[in-house]
Amino acid sequence: MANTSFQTDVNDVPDDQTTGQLIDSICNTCQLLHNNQPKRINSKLIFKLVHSFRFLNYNVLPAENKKLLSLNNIDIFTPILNLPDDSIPEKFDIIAILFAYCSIRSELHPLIINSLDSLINHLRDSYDSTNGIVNSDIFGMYTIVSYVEQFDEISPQLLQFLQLNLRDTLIHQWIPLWQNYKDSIPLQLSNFEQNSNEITSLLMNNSKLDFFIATSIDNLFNKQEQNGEKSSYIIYQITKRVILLNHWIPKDIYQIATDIIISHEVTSASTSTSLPTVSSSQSSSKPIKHDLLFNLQIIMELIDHPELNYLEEPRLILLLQVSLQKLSTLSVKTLHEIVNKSGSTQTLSAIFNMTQFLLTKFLVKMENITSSSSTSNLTLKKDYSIPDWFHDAIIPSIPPISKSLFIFDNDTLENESESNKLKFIVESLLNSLNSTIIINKKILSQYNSLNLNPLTLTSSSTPSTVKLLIKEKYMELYFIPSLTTLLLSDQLSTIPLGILYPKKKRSLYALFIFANTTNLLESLIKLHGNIALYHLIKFISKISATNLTLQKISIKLLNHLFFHIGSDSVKQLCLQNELTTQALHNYITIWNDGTETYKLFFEDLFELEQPKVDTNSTSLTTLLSKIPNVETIINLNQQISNITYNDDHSPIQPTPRKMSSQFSMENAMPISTNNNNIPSKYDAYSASSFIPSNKPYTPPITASTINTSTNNNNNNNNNNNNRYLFNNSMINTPPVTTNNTIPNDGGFNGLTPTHMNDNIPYVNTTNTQEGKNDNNYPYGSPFSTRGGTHPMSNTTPKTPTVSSMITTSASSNATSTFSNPWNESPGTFTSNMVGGKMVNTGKNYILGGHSRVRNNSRAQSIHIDQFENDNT
Amino acid sequence: MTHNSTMNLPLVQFLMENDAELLKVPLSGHLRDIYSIYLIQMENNHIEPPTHEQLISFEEFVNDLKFISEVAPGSLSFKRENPLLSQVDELLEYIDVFPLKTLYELYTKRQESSNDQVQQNSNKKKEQVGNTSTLERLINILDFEKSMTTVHSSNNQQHKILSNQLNKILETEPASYELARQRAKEITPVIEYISTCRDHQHSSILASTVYIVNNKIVSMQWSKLSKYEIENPQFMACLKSKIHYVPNLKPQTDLTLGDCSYLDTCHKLGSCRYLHYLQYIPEFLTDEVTRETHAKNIKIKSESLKIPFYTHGNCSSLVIKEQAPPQWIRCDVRKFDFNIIGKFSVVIADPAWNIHMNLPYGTCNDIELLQLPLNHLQDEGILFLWVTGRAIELGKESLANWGYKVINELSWIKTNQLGRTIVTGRTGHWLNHSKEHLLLGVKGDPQWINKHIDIDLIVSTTRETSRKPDELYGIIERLVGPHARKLEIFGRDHNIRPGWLTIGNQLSGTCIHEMDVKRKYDKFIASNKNPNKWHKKDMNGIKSGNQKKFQSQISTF
Repeated sequence: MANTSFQTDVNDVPDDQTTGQLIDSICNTCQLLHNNQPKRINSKLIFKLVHSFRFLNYNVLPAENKKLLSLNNIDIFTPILNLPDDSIPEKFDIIAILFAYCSIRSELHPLIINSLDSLINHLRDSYDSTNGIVNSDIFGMYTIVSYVEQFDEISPQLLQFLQLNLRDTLIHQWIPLWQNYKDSIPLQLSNFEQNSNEITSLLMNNSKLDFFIATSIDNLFNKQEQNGEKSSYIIYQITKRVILLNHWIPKDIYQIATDIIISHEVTSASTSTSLPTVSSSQSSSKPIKHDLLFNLQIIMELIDHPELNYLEEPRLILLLQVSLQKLSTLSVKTLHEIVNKSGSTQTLSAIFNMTQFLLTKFLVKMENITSSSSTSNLTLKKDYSIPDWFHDAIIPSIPPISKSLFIFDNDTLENESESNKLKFIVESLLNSLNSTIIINKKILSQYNSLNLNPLTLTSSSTPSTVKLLIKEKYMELYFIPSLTTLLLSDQLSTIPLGILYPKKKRSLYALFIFANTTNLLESLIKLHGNIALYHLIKFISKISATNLTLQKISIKLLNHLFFHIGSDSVKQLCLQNELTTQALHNYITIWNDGTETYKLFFEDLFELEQPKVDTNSTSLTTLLSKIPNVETIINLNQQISNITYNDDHSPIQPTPRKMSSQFSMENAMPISTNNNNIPSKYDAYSASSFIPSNKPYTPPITASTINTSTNNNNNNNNNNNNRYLFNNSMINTPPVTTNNTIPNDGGFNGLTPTHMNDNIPYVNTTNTQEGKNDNNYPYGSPFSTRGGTHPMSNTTPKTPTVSSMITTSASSNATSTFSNPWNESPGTFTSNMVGGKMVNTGKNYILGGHSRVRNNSRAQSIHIDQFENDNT
Repeated sequence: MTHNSTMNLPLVQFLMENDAELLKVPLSGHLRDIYSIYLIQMENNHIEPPTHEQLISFEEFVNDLKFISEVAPGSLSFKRENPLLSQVDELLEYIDVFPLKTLYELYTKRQESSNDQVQQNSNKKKEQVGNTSTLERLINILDFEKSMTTVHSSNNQQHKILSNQLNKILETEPASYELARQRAKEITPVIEYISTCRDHQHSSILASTVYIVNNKIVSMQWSKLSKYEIENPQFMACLKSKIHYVPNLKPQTDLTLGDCSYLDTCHKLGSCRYLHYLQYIPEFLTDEVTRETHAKNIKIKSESLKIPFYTHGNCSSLVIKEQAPPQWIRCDVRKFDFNIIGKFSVVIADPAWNIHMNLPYGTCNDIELLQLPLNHLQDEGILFLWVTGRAIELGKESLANWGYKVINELSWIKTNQLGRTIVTGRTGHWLNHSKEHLLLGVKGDPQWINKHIDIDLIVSTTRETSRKPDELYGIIERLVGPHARKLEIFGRDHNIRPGWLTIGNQLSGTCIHEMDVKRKYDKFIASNKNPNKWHKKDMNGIKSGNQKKFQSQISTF
């Protein structure tokens, strides 16, 4: 077999000869199985056969293979089924995997159809025994294939590790589907359209959906019939699945599916031809982005928005999953080429490690929230928090970045129910995370194969300190995401309840993530040698002291790396270096709790006897007293919690004064609430505030009354106030006529205050007090001041006393009644309420007199004019 | 072995030789690591494998270190990283080589002398150093004046040297400033520029050759021009490559009065007796400059595709990301819910402050402006606030109010049509305003700001009333990068720009591309019972002095 690490690049397809030999051997093996020669059939052969099936994908075999079609009238399943259970481990799992492979490659369909009857006969007992039990974990064929293909080889150990338990899926899902298929005509989209229950069961059940894709995908895109909204919805949903399957879908169909997803539109053009046109408004200006650069751009979008709530970004997550899947098939060379082309500020390793970290961080947080709501048992709760410095250490500080338009959704095609959407997103996130880890691992192992060391710092002028610092940062770039991912894996496997996805899948993903992450770290150590191991131990020591869950995960990881990877390379590496050995010894000694976990380290590695550890019980108070400065810590914690509780803003910045919050209080009139807090500066002496129309009016009386009045102004209305209130509200409505007749939008008399409030728009929707400003446009005559206060109070600048402020407010409230700045006649103002007055603001000359722009400043002088007029 | 009585001289030597390396990454002063390195070094130093006596245990190693630090006070200082962990986890925070050297010399010179003497010596030293902590010593050094003036003791001499060094370090400009400048130079797109002819003779020649109808140059007498070319050899070339200002001679113009101080912004163009000018640029020249600029910008863009040499504050997709299209929301800023538009790196606000002047637009009162919940707009970032007159103080208060610290002030020196400073500003209570002020408030500690690129001065022509110079956008884009989200409050149609969200009540309509913002905005509108009325009502709000009408009125004159 070809070297798997290179095999996967789409550009690196084996030559015809190799493929021919591969198919020959597959055919021979199948024949051998069919002939049922028990002596020659053993588990090794079967596992090899299953493994070789992964090379029958459309990357390797793009066209239909005639030789494979010759596998007619052959039954390969029954012989395996007939093998005794102990000769082949996880028998049903391997049969199911084989079955899945045969299902998803059309040339192999005869293999299934031929053995279907025999299979059903053999499994009849199982049918009966489990009849009625519906397994909640339904796997699709493509899902299973993608699960096993992320590992280098299918082995009995792998199946034991994964515990797929595919028996029920095979018997209750896949075989019945094939049986129906065999009996009747191929599935048609039109069949589904007529029955919405069918659609639901198709779209909700992955095994059905996969089966549909495997058997009838050609029908989906070749028909011209799908013009209705319903069918384009179904096509879109099916396409969403198709694009995740990558090399197990014929290339032309995959291309169409990708186009549909990226252009985000199902058009007849895009489904009937392989060269689709785009009519989506968003992407009409540019051609569809088939290029790999676009895939990278999606990932960079994720990195540039670390604050995103992915549950609100279904499209980004879908695109991300597709992109990562695509990128995971590329060689490191191609990846480097794309990154270079993109001019990214981040390196290849940084991009994928940051992606890994961001996805994991989000999932851990989400898990924390869902588990805290679902688990009431406190003892089950562990500290699954990620240390704050993780984020700061690897995610660079950037300003808020505008989102790229391609991540936004087309609502017409995304009308799934919320819960289904969430389920899809969470699974996509997990898939994406897994792909990212695989890419990361692949990059390292390919560096290793190519003898490349990304840490080779050629510049001789770089000081050694800088070099060492770079190395440390580089290592952190790998360790932070990896350890966080292991935390997630632990979380998924130990907290059994998941709201958003079933238990089986949780534990499977936990296993995938764990296996791939440890592989990733193995590759890192293999590539960089002792420096990686030393930094790993230092990193683990550092994080263990801050979080006990991380400590548990770390020791599990160390155990795995030192004793369970099948070779003692890490062990040897560690012993070669005094620094690493000492660091590990220190760590093990500190955390040794006398259990098996630490035993191997002492006995195998250091050749020491594991120190016995006594169990002591102590009271909490004694324990606390042992912590130095415990009181300071407790006080500090309290302070911190107080700060976070009270303060909207980050504590490092100047706290906005109380005033602003008071101002924004719905009910608070700045003047009547807390006069003492308002510095005289805010008294905006000329631009006297007035009571907004939506606020009930406080009677313009003496200071003492105001001082005793509370915020509870709403109950403070009387008839007199109502009139003011009404006037105020009217003023904020632009006049219909130039002489400021009051618009008749509410009925002038007999309205209760509540009604009036209802008539006023934006009454309760904004925080700011509106309309206070009308006095700022006082080129109109302010007419009478109903409050009866002395007009001079308005003209006295900066009078910070409480009483003056109140009178200002009161008078202005009344005067504001008449100012309407956008009256067509500047300088003059008439009202049919009090009678016309003309005021020359005396300022027109500044603007030359001819521009007829209204003078709207110098409020105070106008007030004087007005009162003088009134008095005369 | 009683380590309290035996000095581990190889260790002292080891510490002296490797002081810097031991404290730096990756060892970072961890005792366990230093111990390992020490063991490795011991092994390397001995040709024969070290005897068992020479190999000390970790505990002995720590004891030795403590002893050294006791004998030579101030030579080693320890720190405990995590108070909960044991002594083993202590760090070596600082190694002072000077006392170590003294110690070493003392020992090597007088190997034979007794421990008592060493003890005495060390006591002496203790008095000298005064048992001061590292921090105290640093503070002593920081007292520059004292250490510069007092030179009578040797200790102060040392302080002097140290404070000199410290000063030097503090004065050193970080490379990041230069890098940021260089980057800005390399990747900032150029804008079209045509220089202006300053030759008076040229403009007087032009005055006699152009036909002006309705304040526009309609045609030129080319025959006359070529005649003048003979007298002024460079004239035609100049005319083809530079902007010229042609005197706009009208029947009422009195040349003896000189230039109108308002020039093209004069409100009385029809009757003003002072001299006004019209701009003349040959059409082909503008075309050519546009073309050249475009070509240059394409080159700059393609070159920026190279692997970036300095990435501070840049998003990862800097080069391939398309800049967000202009977005704007027409709304009454005073009643707008700022939570729906998200967070921004930079906010510009040009509020209609009431500065008690006769302004051609409506103004907000102070309380309304102070009430604006601008504290929701940024977690960290910079707010640019245009202020004038009394609003300068008010603006500072507002910034503090919203949680910002005033860090700088930018001035815009206004120039007129002819590129000269304004002599007759239209506002100002005491002196005419010929400049405007822009306060810079910072919130939090944004690490991604690119400092030290631009200066705090803009010299630029005035345009429509209250329209601010576009140079500011360039400054901001260099400060935060092209893809950072930027907001302008109280903006008008001429303020909309790619990468910016503009809000204000004088914008025409609303255009939102970011769907998440749009969704929230639609909700917000829907929650207002009658959105149409709501919009209409805004009109008596901010700066709603019918700016456009004002402009059109001017232009009719």
